[in-house]
Order: sequence, then structure tokens, then C-alpha cells
Amino acid sequence: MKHLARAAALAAVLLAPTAALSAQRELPYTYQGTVHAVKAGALDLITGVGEALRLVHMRTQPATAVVGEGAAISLGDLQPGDVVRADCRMTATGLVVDRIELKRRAP
Amino acid sequence: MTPGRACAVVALVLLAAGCERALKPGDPLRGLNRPERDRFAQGKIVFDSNFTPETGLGPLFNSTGCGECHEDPAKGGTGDEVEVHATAFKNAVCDPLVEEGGFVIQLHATPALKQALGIDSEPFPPSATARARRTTPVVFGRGLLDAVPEAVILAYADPDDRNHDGISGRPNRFTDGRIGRFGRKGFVPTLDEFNAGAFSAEMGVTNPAVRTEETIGGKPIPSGVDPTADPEINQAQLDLTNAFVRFLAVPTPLKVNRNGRRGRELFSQIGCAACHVPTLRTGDSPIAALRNKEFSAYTDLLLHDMGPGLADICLGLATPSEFRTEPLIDLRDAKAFLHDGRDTTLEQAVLDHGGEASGARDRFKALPATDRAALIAFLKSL
Repeated sequence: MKHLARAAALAAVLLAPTAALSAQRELPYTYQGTVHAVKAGALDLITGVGEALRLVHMRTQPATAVVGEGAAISLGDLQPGDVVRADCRMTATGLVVDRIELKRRAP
Repeated sequence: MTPGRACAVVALVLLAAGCERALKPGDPLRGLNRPERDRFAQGKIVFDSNFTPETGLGPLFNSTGCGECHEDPAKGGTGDEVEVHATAFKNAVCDPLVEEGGFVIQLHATPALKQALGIDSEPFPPSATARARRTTPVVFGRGLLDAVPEAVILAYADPDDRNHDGISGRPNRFTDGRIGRFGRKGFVPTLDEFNAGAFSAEMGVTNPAVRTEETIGGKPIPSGVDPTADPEINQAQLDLTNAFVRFLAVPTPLKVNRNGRRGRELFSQIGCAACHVPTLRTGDSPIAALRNKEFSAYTDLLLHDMGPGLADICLGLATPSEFRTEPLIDLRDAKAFLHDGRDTTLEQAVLDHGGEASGARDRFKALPATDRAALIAFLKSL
């Protein structure tokens, strides 16, 4: 029993930083940008500052909520040129988007 | 105070206003306080500094410093450099080609990048559908333009030409949907963002607002080519640059004679002023010198279709033939005209206007030679 408790304590000490790091990595990020591409399981957004534009790549999930024009829409309804707000979190494997809100349709 | 004394005070104030020294190109705004004037002076030093690869330049760049291009007849002015932009316009949607390095094509490479990849400039993006030449605009009065409320810009918009005057301005929008006003296509919403983006896109200098370098035509920068830690300038340097540009005044238009006054009347009569709105008014601002000021702008900050003859790239919502009305500021020092510098005289530039400006152009063409000369004389006073 004593041995087990020691092992648990050791595991807690060893895993605590990992858990903390994991929590750190999942900090929320919000982007508002123009849809560049919608691919299977991924969304590329054009963002940037002034004339310095950058592409932000984020993964979508089956649970990713997509809303726009007053109702739920599907990811496939988004098209290049649409302006969206994407609520994401940074995971160990990259950005994952949890919610996408269509703000403005492409011209 | 007796009515007589009050009148005397008013007369003195009016006299003082009438005797105000004319603002020259490169002068700061009137009414800045001491700390603001100090920041203008310090910002001018940053604006005029030259970067090297060791201090953040590149690896791709168009110039080594802001003041290298914006230099004539004073810092913040025009220059003879012409840069290249490229985008793709497909299915009525504009692609700024971020995957291929972005729409600003840098024309120079640092020695380290040249050694690593054997290139002298950024590769031209293969997906581009159009290429544009861009001259260096003056940045005088940009702080005033920045302080014009969006409501004022929108009040001039008439996207469906409901008043049937053939002019249908509309605002451009940035990638996030905000209304733009800076740049030849009116793409960038604020002056601070334009400056921060320019540090990156024009000089390859990362900063607190743009923390990552642009790719090399969409490919990562080879290791060892860009040794300076990001950001390559700090917030204080960025803030000072912003202060310098924000506080640059609109040069006082030159005094015009009877001929020039006739030209000013014609400018409105033939319809130029429908887009080149002579005066704009700023809104509220924490800076007294920018607060509720009327100034000579000669722009509505909106996009207008200028016809196929001038068309080049799309950007944001702007189609290839749409351009933001160019502010006519310090026109007297300009040596090349229109967005790409194709014309060497103002008369040519007026005649090259098309699209929504066709009516005004045709009325200009129909004027007697003396009236055309009067209008050009007026423009040269700006």
C-alpha cells in the first residue's frame, strides 16, 4: 500500500507539469479573417496586419459548430472570400477550431 | 470686457490666424503639444533609419528604410521607387496569394538569402492573374485621414448609384471585414496597421504587430538566413514611427491667382469633386491637433471603378478596375501620376481617368484650353 502511494505521488509529480503544459497549450485563440480554403477537416483563414498578410491553418472537427445568417450551417457552406470569426484552441498538434461564425458573405 | 476691447481681441485673433505660417511638406501638424512634437522628432529618426540584415532587414525587402522611398521633397514625401504587387481574381473573389508569399512582391534579397537560394527577389507568384506597379505615395496628412470617422466615409458611399450621377463609391474591407481606407485599393483600416504591415512587407522587419517573417514565395526561410530574433523592432520604435506619420501635416496649398481660382471652381463644376471631396472633417481624437479638424483631403476614401484602361490587381473587395480615390495632397511635388506612375503630366492623368470618372474627364476635354490650363494650375497648387 505504501509502495502504491509512493508510486501515485511520483506519478503526480511527474505528470503535473505535463498536465499544466497541456492546459497552457490549449489556450483559446480567436481569429477573424477571410476564408481561403475549406478542405476536409481543415480551414485556412487569411489574416494579417496591413499589407502583411498571413495564412492561419486550423483543423476542424465533427463537433465544430458553424453558424451564420441566423442559423446553423455546415462547413461546406463556407466559401473562399467569406469573412468568419473562428474560436480556436492551440493543442499539441496545432490549432483546432471549435466554433465558426460567418460574419460576411463573399461578394 | 467692453465691446470695444472684445472686438479688438477678436481682430487680433483673426489677424494671427491669417498670418499663420504656411505648412511645408514634412512639417508637423499645427497645435501639437511639446511631448507630441518630441515624439514627432524622435519618430522621424526611426522613419529615416536604415536597416541592415543584422538589424532586421529582409531576408526579402523593397527598401532598407521608410525614408529611403518617402523622401521627396521631405521625409514622408514621394519617391521614385516603383514596386510590384500581384493577386489572383477568380470567380469574383480576390486571392492575395498568401500561400505564395503575399501580394507585395519584394524586389530585393539579402546576401544570405541570395547565397542560400540564388534569388535576387521574391519569385513572382505563379497563380497571379494580374501584376500591378505601385509608386510611392506621400504620407502627409495620413493621421488626419485616419481620424475621419467611418460614418463620414459611409455617408459618401452610393454603391447602387441611387442618385444616378454615374458615381457609385463603396468602401473596401480588410480580411476581417472592417472598412479599409489606406493603400491604393483602400484595403487597410488604420494607419498603425498600415505602418506595422509596411515594416514587414516593405523591409522584412518584424515587429510587435507582425511577429513572423513572410515566406519566400510560400516556402519557409532557409535556416541561418534570418539570424535576428523576432520581433526585430520593439513597440517603442513602432510607436515613434506611428507618431511621426500620424503628426505629418497636409502642406498648405499654395496661394492661387485668378486663374487658379477659376481652376478650383471648374474642379467642382465638371465633377472632379464628386470623388475628390475637397475637405473632410476628423472626429474625436485623444490628440487635440487631430480632433474635429477640417482639412484639405480631396478624397472620399471610397473605391470607384476607373475603367479597364487603369485596371490591374484586385485586393479585398476591390475589383481590378476599382481604386480608392487618391487624396490630392502635395500634388505640386509629384513627378509621376496615377497609382502606377504611368503619366508625367497632370493633364495626361486627368485624361486617363475612365469608368465612373468618364463624365468628369469628358467635361475636362470639352473645356477651352485656357480653362483646362486653369484647372491644372489649381491642381499644381495643392
